[in-house]
Amino acid sequence: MTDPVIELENVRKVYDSGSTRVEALKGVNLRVRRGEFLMVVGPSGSGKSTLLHIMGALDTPTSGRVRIAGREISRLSDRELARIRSRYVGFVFQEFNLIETLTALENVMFPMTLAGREDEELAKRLLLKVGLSEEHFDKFPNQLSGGERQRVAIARALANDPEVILADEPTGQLDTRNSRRIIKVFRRLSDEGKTVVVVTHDLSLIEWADRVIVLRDGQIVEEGSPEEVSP
Amino acid sequence: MMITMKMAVRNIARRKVRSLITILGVAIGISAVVGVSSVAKGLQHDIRVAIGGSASLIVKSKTAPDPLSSALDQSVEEKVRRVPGVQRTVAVWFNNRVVTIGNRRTPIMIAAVEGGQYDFVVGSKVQPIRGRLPRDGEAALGSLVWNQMRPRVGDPVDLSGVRLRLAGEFRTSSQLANMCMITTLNSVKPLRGNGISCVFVQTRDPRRVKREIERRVPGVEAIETSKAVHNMVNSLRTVEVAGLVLSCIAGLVGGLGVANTMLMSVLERRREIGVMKAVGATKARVMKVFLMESLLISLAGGALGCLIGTAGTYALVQVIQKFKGKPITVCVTPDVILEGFLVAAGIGVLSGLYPAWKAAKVDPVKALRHE
Repeated sequence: MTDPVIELENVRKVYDSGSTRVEALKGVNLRVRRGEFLMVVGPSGSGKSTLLHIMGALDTPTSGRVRIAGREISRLSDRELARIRSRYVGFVFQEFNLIETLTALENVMFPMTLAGREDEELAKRLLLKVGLSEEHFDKFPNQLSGGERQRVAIARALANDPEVILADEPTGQLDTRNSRRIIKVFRRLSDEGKTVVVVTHDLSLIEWADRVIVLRDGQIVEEGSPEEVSP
Repeated sequence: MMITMKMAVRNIARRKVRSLITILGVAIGISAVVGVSSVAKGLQHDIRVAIGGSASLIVKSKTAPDPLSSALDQSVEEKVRRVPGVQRTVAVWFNNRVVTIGNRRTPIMIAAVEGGQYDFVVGSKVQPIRGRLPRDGEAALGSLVWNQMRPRVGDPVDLSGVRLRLAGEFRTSSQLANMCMITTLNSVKPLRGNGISCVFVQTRDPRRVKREIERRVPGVEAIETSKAVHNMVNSLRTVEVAGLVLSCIAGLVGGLGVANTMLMSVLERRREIGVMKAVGATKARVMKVFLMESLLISLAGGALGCLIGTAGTYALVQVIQKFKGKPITVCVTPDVILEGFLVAAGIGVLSGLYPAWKAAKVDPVKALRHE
């Protein structure tokens, strides 16, 4: 449990868009341990999404060091970063972000295609695993409900058997019942050995996590077990 | 690979009207390419068939620019025949004369061929489609002149006072030959005296025999038919290339349409591009996805353009033939179609490059930001 899969050291991120300068992260130190279920909570605008993007090599820090799978990402090429996103991490988003022109099954197979190993049987198993029934496999995203879409998105994140699942407000557009179902899927994945990082502003979900960090104004202000952090 | 292909097809299908307009734009350019090429190919075919036949050398007077306007004494043929390496000679007399059949008069190019060895002189098989090929004292009309004059087999033909019997109508694959009247050399003796235009020569070694003929027979030049065909086809190719450049400009306009459509598509699908990158697509991969789409649009335009171009060219030829009476050979060969598709593929890749590059540059973080 001491082996970190993702390691952030004094990470700062500044967005400079002409007139406005936003400091999204102000020196974050964080180690994500192998197999843990980590939840990052905080109000909107606290830098949660930025943190998640940097953890998944989708964004790069303005300063500080990020090590993913033991590799310093500032030294990696576009190709190598893409490889990390393809094989080592799996993203799940609030807006599901499925590709509209692909069916549920094809959406799960898409990352496999990018990695050069399409496996339809595996894609079907993953969809069943996250609780999507077979009748939905050939439907397009706009024919599915929010909960169903998020299941497809989770199956897609699992497509290339990544070490880490990174989820950005995965329950943000779901009702309470569906939120619980989805968070249970993450809990189960974590129990099976996957490292899971979920970013959320919904404090009712933290009971499912192993560890919680609270982010405010780009800084970690609190860290501990769900019981310790609970207000 | 299959999945990215499906994505491309479904994206094109999803925006039907826009895709269709873009495809039409490409199709117009490609149909111009196909039209110009098939007409140029037709002309080349005519030349190949009109010059040469199975003869390998044509002996003409040194001063004449071409065999049609050459004038020689028929004794030249005997001298040529004695040159070592010459296997066969056929003397031909070309002349443009007013021909009278019944009450119709019209100027026609006459080809009087020694011994009626027409196939030796004309590049393609001379086929009688009515009556028979002419013997001494007879003449036959090419299908195009026949249709113009509408005579009957057996009608008397008057050639400046020489009377021949109309033996029939013939056709070759050369439209130029189809505009001629053919007869034997003996039939027009009173008109030509001892004159001939040129001598068609068969030999196995054209290059050596050409030098021999020019050395032994004064005042003549021997042209290698393969070279003559080559030269004329080459000069035509310049015209063809010029036409192609013009039609490529039409293609360019189609390409701009594709570029515009693809740029819009990239703008609309920024989020999708962000997703692709988040699940592991490299920049090169994103580019490929969009290039595939522009290639598909362009190839669809290419296919449609080949159809429109072929049909349009044949239709245009029919119209021209009807109103001007001028025949045009059109050859829609596989390489004309291939050329159409290649130009379309070129348009697809070129016009897709900039949009694809824009797509590759999309910042996934910005594209995925909550709205």
